[in-house]
Amino acid sequence: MTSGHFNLIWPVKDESTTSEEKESDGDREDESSAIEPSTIKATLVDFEKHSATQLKISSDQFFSHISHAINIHPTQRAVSLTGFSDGDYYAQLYDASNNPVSNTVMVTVEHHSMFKVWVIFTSGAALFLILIGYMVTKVFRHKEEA
Amino acid sequence: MDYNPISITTALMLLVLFGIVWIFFGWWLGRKNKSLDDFMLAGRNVGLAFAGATAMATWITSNTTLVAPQLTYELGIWGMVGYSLAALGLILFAPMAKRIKELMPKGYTCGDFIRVRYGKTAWIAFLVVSFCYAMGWLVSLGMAGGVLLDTLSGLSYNVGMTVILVICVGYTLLGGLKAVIATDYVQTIIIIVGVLIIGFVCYQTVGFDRVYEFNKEHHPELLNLLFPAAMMFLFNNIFFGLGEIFHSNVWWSRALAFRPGIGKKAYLMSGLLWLPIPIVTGFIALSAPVLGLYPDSSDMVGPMVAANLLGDLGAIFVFIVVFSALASSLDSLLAATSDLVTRDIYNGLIDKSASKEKLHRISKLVILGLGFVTWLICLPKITTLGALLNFTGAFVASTIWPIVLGLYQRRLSGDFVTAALVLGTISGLIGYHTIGFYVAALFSCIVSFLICMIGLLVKNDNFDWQRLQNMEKSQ
Repeated sequence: MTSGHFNLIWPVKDESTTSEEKESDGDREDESSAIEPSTIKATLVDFEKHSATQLKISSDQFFSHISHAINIHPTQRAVSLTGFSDGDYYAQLYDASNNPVSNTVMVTVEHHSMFKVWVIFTSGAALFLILIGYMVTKVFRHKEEA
Repeated sequence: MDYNPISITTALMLLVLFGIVWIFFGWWLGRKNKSLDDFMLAGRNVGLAFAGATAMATWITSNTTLVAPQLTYELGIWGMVGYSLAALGLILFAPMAKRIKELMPKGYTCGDFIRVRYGKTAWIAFLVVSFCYAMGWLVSLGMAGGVLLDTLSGLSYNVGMTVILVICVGYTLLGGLKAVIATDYVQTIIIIVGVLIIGFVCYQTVGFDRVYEFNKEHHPELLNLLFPAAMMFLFNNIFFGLGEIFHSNVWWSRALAFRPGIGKKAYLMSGLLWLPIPIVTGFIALSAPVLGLYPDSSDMVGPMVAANLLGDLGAIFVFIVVFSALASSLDSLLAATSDLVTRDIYNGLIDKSASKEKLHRISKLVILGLGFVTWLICLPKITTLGALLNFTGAFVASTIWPIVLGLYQRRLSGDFVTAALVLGTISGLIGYHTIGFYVAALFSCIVSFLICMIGLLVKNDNFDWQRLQNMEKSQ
């Protein structure tokens, strides 16, 4: 992921195989997250032994430090997460008794390089200044020709 | 939160009520339409209050009520500021609206301008760009209606999408631009009051400090001014907004419909009034994590937070506000795209000698046809709202420099404009697919700018402005 935003979905294991295969990377392709499917390892699958009530996210695979504990609705099957810094994150579903009810998936967030960002940002700023300069000198001060 | 805070019955009742009110309003306003000018351009006599309101209401669309919170949720502070700066499109278009009205008092569409100013090849390239954008926006609005109803009430996506399209097609068909502008006026008041109330309740309930502290700890990139994707997004969104407004017949048809001397003031006023709206809707989105709200899909974060803060009754309020925003843009776009298809494609390419009465009839058929095509494309819900909108950024940003230079420079010729439109769009699409949606418009605009500059250096078209006064049929 290159924008720190990603979606997780958790199809129920008993659902038809077709639907699971359709979203085999455990994420929903989102237009605005520039998701690279290879960065999500495995599929988050709800075993539905008990209703999942919480999604936990941790930066270590043993979940010793939980960075996010997100309450979810029993019928919820997806969540959109945002604002993550570079790093590997692990996600797992839990029931009301704090027992895991899904497998664990790993999401890797790697933002764009700052060199590329500055080149694009500076180009945008320069073009914007040129446009504003032209608008101020020509467009806003324009007097109609006879 | 409760997934469907409004019952299906309530949602259907609201839809029927809104449908009857808007369609009756359209019929009532349209009953005095006598000519093509009345239908397409509201008699070319729209005053300042209606002019300002329609410009603002059209610009407050699902983009502002759904996508502005979405982009803040995904890209943080820069997403919010970048979205807000799309108001520059309206502000910078203000002097151009005056120029357009003066240069082509008999004109109907932006296509008219491109055809006379740059010639047939550039005109066709422009029509493709403009039509792709218009269809993208139309489809995204239809989809947003379906998604909104589905989220708030559980009403099936197809039913919600179909109903909102039928209502908007209905009153646009009956009343033409006059109905669109008048409904926009009412919708603007609903939207501004609604957004301000939701923003105020959000501020009272959550507050700046909690938003800052929580996001700093759990979602640090949202507050990071060096957030890489968001930095790239900032200028990209400005150019996307500029491209949307500069090229689109939605805005040109209004410039031509406003009374002389009104356009500049109306666009300046609406731009300045619109500027803070995405900041308010963005703040609402930043509050979502603090409230423990994480949406299934990021484009529903705004309505989700609002419904959560205001309760069941508030969800109805949210429904009305977003529905008004959707309708105010959908009707404008239907009317403007119909003008473009009728004048530029039918009258320009198919039947050049068609009478105004015939064009009036064709215009109504085109509105129906556009509604139907939009409905068909919306049905399979092939992509998401944001995906569609950002995709069109690659197209529209290529038109910025050809439009600006075309209105104020005699030198730029059609060959270079065609190249700027085509190569600009291709570059934008490459950026969209290789880097991300947040560079599509920027890449498109940069390439288009470079080609236009080369055009100005190597060739002098020495265009005669008088040709626009008479709206010549051929070069």
